[in-house]
Amino acid sequence: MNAIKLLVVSVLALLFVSGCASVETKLEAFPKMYDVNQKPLSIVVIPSINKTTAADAAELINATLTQPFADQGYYVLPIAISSEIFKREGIVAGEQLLNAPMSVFKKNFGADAVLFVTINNWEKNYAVVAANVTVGMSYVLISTSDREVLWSYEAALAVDTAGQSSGFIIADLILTAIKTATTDYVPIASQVNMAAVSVLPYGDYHPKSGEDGELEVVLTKLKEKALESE
Amino acid sequence: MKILALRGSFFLGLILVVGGCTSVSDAGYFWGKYPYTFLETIRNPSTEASEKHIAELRKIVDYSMENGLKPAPGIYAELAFWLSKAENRDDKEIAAFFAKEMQIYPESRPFIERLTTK
Repeated sequence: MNAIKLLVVSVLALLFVSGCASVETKLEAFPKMYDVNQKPLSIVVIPSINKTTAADAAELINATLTQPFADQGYYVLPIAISSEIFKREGIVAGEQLLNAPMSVFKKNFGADAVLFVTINNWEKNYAVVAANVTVGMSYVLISTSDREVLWSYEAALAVDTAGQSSGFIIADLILTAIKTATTDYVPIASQVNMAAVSVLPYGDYHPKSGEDGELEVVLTKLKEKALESE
Repeated sequence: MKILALRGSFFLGLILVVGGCTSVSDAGYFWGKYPYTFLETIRNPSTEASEKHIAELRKIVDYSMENGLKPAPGIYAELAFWLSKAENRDDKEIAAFFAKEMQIYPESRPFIERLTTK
């Protein structure tokens, strides 16, 4: 877990060092999230848009999405139930709902906002002595009353899944393949969700709701990039 | 002596609270192994996977109750949902769990009412 944190920090550090990384406060970046008339409380999660060939990625994201958003102070409609309703309506992928009127979700689900999640990258890389999983996701939260974007962010993560080197190349190759195949991807999926959610303003159920507007943590580039992938 | 004993129990209590809170989020929710048992129902839908998930959801509710926490958003509703799909369904219990979700999270009402009246 520490290695993951270190990687996230390094990626962020790199972005800062490489210059021109403009940083905004949460309030500057997402003003609607601090407006009592526009701030959402309940969120319905749309089936994820998977742009990768990794079929298991969407399942992992579905299973790990509720927790970080709820912990940030929002009411997330249970994904188990909403996804079954979508399935009944013949909707299995988020793309099918990109052009749907958002008011439908207000009317049918009572949701204030809709969360679109796009999996841009989910690559398992194997090498002789190294292996890693690279994950890239975009998150866009849209209001069900006026279709305005309330919040957006892109998160990327590279996680080392290789085992320690044994000193023998063939043994390492086998070990690395086994390690990558048996890696527990739940913490990796959770980590990438949390990286994005860390810049999401606190919702009403969070004890510090409304107090995080001055936090200067939003990289403008990542906020804007998330909108491109939709 | 009494004071000492009181102090002792206070610190013991503090340790228990601090120790027990390690898996409780800032918003005050306990999730147990939720992502794992839920993932199993998506990956390998089966009676066994559902039963394991139901057991985990019950555990989350029990732990939350015992520790004075509010069960996380959707836990009661999901419990009712999975129980409604089980073989020996108990309609009273299902209705009670849906009612609890609406009581602690009023914004869930339109969704649950639509789901249960359909």
